[in-house]
Amino acid sequence: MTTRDEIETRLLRAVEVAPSADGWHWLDEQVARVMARPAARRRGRTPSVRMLLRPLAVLAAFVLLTGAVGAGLNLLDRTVESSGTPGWQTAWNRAQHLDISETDAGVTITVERAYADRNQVLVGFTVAGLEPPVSGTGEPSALDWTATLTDPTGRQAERWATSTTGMAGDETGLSAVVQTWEGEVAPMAGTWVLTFSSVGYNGDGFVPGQCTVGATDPECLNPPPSGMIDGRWRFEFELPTPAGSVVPADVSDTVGQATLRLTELRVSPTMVAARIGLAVDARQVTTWSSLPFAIRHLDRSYTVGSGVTSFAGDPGEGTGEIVFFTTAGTDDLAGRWEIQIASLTYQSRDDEEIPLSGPWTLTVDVP
Amino acid sequence: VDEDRIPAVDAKAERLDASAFGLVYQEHRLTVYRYLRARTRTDAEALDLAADTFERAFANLERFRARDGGVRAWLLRIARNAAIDAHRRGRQTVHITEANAQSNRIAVEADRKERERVEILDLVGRLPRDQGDALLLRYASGLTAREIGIVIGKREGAVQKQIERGLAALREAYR
Repeated sequence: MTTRDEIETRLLRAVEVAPSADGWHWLDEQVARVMARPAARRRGRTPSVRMLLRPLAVLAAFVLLTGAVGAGLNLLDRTVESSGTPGWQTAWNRAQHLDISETDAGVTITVERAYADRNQVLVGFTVAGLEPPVSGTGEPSALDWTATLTDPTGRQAERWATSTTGMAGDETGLSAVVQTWEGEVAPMAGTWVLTFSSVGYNGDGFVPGQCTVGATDPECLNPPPSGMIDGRWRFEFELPTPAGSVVPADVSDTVGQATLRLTELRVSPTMVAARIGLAVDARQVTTWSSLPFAIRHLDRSYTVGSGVTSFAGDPGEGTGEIVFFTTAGTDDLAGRWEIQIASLTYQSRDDEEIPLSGPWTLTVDVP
Repeated sequence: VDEDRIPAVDAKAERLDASAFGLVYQEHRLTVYRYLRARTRTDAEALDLAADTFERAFANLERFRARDGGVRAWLLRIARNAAIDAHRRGRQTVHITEANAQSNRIAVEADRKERERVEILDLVGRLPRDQGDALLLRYASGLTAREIGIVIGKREGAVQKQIERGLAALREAYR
C-alpha cells in the first residue's frame, strides 16, 4: 500500500524541476525587456517581442475596442487585420459570406464567414446578448465557449486539428471571434456543422482583474459562479472543395548521426505545412526542437510560425514527427520546395538537451 | 522564502517598487516556474507563461498590496490566471517564440524518462481544479495554506481540506 509520505515524495520529485540555462536566459531577457519599457506603456498588455514574433498568439488576446464600433463585421475585420498574419487575411478574404444567426437562452451567435483549405478551417462569428463582467484592473474578460466542428466526412476537428483564436469585443458586449482549426483538411466539398453548447465570459467563475491581481475586495475570496450559459446554437454551411495539395515525400538529409526526414508537404493558399521527423543514431527522437527556419519555393520564402506534434489518431503519432506551419501560403504548387534547418536541439534519454549543427537540407520537386 | 528579506518590499507602504522588480523576479522566478511547469505539457509553455506572469505583474505593480497575501501569493495568483487563460484558448500548438537562437525551441511530448513525473501530474490534473491547484501550490511552490487561499480564493481551513482530499485521491489512485 502506498503511504502518504510516498505520495508526497512522488509529488515533490515531480515538481522539483528547473529550466535549462538557456531557458532561464530567455526568461531573464523577457523580464528585462518588460522592465525596460517606458512607463507609459506599462499599463495593460502591450505586444511583447515574443508576441510580435508569435502573431497567432497575439490573436489569442482579447482586444477591447472602445468607441463606436457599429457592426460585428467591423470587429471581425479588425480582429483579422490585427493578426498581421498573411494566411489569416487570405482566408478571410476568400471566405464564404454566410451571415447565419441562431438565438438560444437570450444569446445570439452569428456566423459571418467560413473558409477551408487543405491546411486549416477558419470561421468568423459574433456573440451578442452577454454582459461581460466588469474588470477591476482594466484587464478585459475573454469569451469562453464550447463548440464542436464536424467536417463533411464526419470527423470532428479535435481529432485532426489544433485551434487558434482571435477575439475582439466592443463596449456593448458584442464579441467577435475568428477561430481557426489547423491540420489536414479532407479534400471534400460539402456540409460543415458547427455546434455551440455553451458560451459565457467567466466559465470557471473567474473574472480577470476583479478577483485576481492584488485584489483588496473581500468578495474576491468568493469568486463568482460560472458565467457559462448552456444552449444549442447549430450552424450548417456548405464549403467548396478545400484548395491546396498534399505532397507525399520521403526525402532525408543526414549530418553526423542526425537524420531529418520530410514525409509530407501540404501547400494551400493560407499555409504550407511540412511534416519532419528526427532520428539520431538511427533511433527516432520524440523530443526535439529546431531553430526558426523558412521554407523556400521559387523566389519566395515562407516563415515557419509554429510547430505541432502529431495529432491524436494521426498516422505519425508517437514517431517524433513535427508538423511545421508557415504564416502564409500560396496557390502555386509546382517547382522546387526547399527546407533548410541550420541547427536543432534534442533531448537525450538522459534528459540532456543536446545541440546539433547542420545544415540539413530537404528538397522536394513538384512537377 | 522569507519575504521580509526581499528589499523590493516596503513593509510599511505595503507596495512594490518598480525599480526593485528585478529582485522580486530573481527571488520568485523558480517558484512561479515550477507551478507553471506542473500545469503545462512542455518546458516552453511553462516559460512562456512565466514570462506572461512577470509581465502582468510588472504592469500591475501599483495594485499590489502586501496585506493581500504577500508577493509570492500575488505572483502565483497571476501565474494561475495566465495558465487558466492559456487553457481557455485551447491551444496545443507550441510556438517558435523568438528569433534568438537560445530561446527557440519547440518542446514536444514528455520524454519516457519523465513517465513517472507525468503520471502523477496527470493524476493531479484530473482532480477538481481547486484540489489540484492546492497541491501544486503547496508542493511545487511551497505556499502556505493561507497563501494558497489567497491564490485560489478559499479560506485557509478549506485549503487544508482540499490538500487532504487531493492527497487521499492520489493515494487511492496508486493503491
